[in-house]
Amino acid sequence: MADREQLIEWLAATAAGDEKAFQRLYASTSSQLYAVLLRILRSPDRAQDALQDAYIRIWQKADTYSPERGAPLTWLVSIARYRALDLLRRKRPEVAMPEEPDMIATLLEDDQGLSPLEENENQQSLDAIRECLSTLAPQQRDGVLLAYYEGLTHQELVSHMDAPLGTVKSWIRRGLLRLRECLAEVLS
Amino acid sequence: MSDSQNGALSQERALDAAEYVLGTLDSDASKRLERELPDDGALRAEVDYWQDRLGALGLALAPVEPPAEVWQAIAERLGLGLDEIGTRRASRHGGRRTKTPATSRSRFWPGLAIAASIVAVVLAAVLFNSGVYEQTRTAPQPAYASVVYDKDTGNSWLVTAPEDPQQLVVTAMGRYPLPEGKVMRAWLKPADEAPIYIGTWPYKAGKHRLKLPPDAAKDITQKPSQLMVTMEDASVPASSSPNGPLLWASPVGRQHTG
Repeated sequence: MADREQLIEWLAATAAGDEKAFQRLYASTSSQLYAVLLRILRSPDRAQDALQDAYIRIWQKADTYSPERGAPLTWLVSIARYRALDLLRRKRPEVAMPEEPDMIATLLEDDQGLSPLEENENQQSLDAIRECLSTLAPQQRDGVLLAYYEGLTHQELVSHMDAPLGTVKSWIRRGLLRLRECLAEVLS
Repeated sequence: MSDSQNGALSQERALDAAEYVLGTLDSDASKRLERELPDDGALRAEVDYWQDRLGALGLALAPVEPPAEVWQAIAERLGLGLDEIGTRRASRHGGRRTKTPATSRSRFWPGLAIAASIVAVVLAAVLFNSGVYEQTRTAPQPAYASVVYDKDTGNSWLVTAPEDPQQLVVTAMGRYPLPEGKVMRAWLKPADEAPIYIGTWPYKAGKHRLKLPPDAAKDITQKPSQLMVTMEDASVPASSSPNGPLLWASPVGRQHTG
């Protein structure tokens, strides 16, 4: 995985129509985006379609990225994830049940995503959100994780968490509010 | 009137932005928020913030290498002129293209509406004699040239190629407002023949290259040819014939030397 500065450079070059830079950007980042899409969509076929769409969008929107907006890799991940959510809203994958949030939380504990020599900024971001998620009430944390990794809507969370709609909405909103407060402290 | 015009976002609005990024904001509210984004800097900043923070959750997953076909499909859809793809496209066109008499020409533009923005064609002589090449006087003069001009937006593209052309150099003067989900595709149409797909027509400002498949490169040197651009659906891969309205057509002029 290329470092932040390299990704920023490739994105700028892609914005100027540099095909080689775009290819390098793809080579460097597609495995991370594909992992996110596989997680949410559960099907290699759908994930591959979404990955194509995501990079088409990245090619088209590269000129809208600037470092002030956030890290290049999280910007790319967001584009891929929006595409997955679009596809999900059209057809929920044929999977019995989403994974239990505890398994997802375990995923956050391991460092399997980032290699040991990973650049600092991404590691810091991940550490910060892990730490802050652990300060949330369990249902708030579960709601946020299920929404992120499974792409569940409020209604789907109602079924999955067996709680009324108002309660689920409140868990999500309060969870996000608490996250914001915590992140402000941790990252200051 | 946005509440952000008076300063920071309200907490409700900030949480809407967070839920939008998370994906839990309902469909109507999401669409409303999207409409408001272009005009609301504080809202945009909040969305960026959550994209960056929640995006970190995506980094917790172990990377998984996608199949090589995904990149190939991307390059195909975008008409990227990278060597292996260019070669593949050339061989496909070489294999399927057939010569067609002039009377059947219309069948290569089935159901197309000629867009109102086709304007008077600018002859290549104007390009050669204009001041455009002042700054490149040390560079060799192009042998082939064309100018594409959209009168609605004022956008123009200068197209040049050297002797024995392997590619067209397309300089887009300014960014064209390409509609969402659309792609512009470029075709070379030699006289009395079917159009040949040569790649994605650039909407971004700057210099771009369109690789010419061998048949197209040959035709351009042997007979009068038109450069044509169609507006097509980006989600549908380019095929061997145009699949959308014709935007512009411009003859490719030949510089007579000596």
